Amino acid sequence: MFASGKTITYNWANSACEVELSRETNWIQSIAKGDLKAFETLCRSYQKRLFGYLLRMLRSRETTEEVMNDVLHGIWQGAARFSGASRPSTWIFSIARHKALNRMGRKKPVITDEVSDDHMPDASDNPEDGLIHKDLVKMALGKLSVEHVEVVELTFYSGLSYQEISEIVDCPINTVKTRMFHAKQQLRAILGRVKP
Amino acid sequence: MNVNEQPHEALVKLLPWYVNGTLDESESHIVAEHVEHCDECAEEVAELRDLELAVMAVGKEEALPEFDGVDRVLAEIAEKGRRKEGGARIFRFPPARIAMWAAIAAALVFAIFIPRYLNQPAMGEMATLQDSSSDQYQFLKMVRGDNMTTITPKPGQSALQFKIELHLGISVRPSRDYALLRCELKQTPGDKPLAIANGKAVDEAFGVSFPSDDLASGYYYVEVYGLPAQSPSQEYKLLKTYGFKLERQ
Repeated sequence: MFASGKTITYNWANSACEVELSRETNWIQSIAKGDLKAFETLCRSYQKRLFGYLLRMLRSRETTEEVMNDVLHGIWQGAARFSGASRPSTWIFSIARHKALNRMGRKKPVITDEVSDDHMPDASDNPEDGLIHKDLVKMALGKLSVEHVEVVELTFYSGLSYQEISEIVDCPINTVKTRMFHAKQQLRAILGRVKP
Repeated sequence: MNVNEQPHEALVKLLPWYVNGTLDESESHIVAEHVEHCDECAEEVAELRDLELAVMAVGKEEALPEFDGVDRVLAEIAEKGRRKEGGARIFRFPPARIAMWAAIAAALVFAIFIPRYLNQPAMGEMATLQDSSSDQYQFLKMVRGDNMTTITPKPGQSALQFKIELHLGISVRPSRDYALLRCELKQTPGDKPLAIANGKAVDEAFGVSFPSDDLASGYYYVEVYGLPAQSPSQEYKLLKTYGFKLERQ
């Protein structure tokens, strides 16, 4: 049984994750004070993940670059309003999603990656047996709905937890899991034939 | 709780995040044990690892090495002379606009918050507390329709009790990882508890109630302990420390 009043050691604050979290929070606080170096460091550490996420949602490189620009400005301008109630990654990806959805509301996404079934890459193109051909994956991701593809992208490319994704896409955790389940089913229907 | 008692369907849904390595330690442990004994899940994990590699390969290929978004924005910000102003945009607003927003904010507070506050029941007040961060502790924000940072019981409510719902979704899954949860209310972390309450796990949150009639205004801490489902030693583990400010009127 738990002994009340015993000496307690706080070890959670020392974990690598907490340290990273604290470092990113410090960067945002510095950005709020006008620290351009902190802004550059934070943005560079997120640039690739954000770009991949936005490109998958917007499906146009040109639009993605424009929205990426808006997102970076959003981080700079919104840093003072970051309360620390959410993780920095959640906050940053939420800005990105908001900007992307705004853009999508104004203009339908241009699907540039879509490949017709006639030109669907074949498993034999893949030099490494057992791996899914990335062109086929690109095409398959292009066929998913925005709601499904963003969960896949945030999970596998951005490496976020389901809790963070839940906050970013603003829906319950179970919805995130369900979207992932359906996304996998659709991907499996397309990619199944490349599996050994 | 035995790992094998975890429903297969629930664990399958966690596999994508088991593969990307973001499950917390205990959750990951449970999934790993299940995968070891479940051929279907083992195959699913292998497939998801392939998918992860492919998605990352696509992402890397598409990420423009020559993309100069950060440099461009840095140049734009520098050009606008915003180095000194930083992100505090509000101070660039003219005074009339600040006054207008202040008036709107005040109107919202009176229209939304005040009536709800006055209608709070004397017993069993709900205080939903969420994560916030501080340098040392994870302080809680109380949410009662509106964001609040302070718990403020009404004057004269000697029998007032708080029901605190701690949403631990970020790293703790009480119903799966821990057989029992308990919270200790303290004035100083590590000290003898003022009150102890056992939490009842409901999905990803659990609620505890502390009698607060004897509590004076001040800062308090809630230490959350869990009894790991697989713990042979039956020792509670400190999961998180939360803090809140109690203000009596």
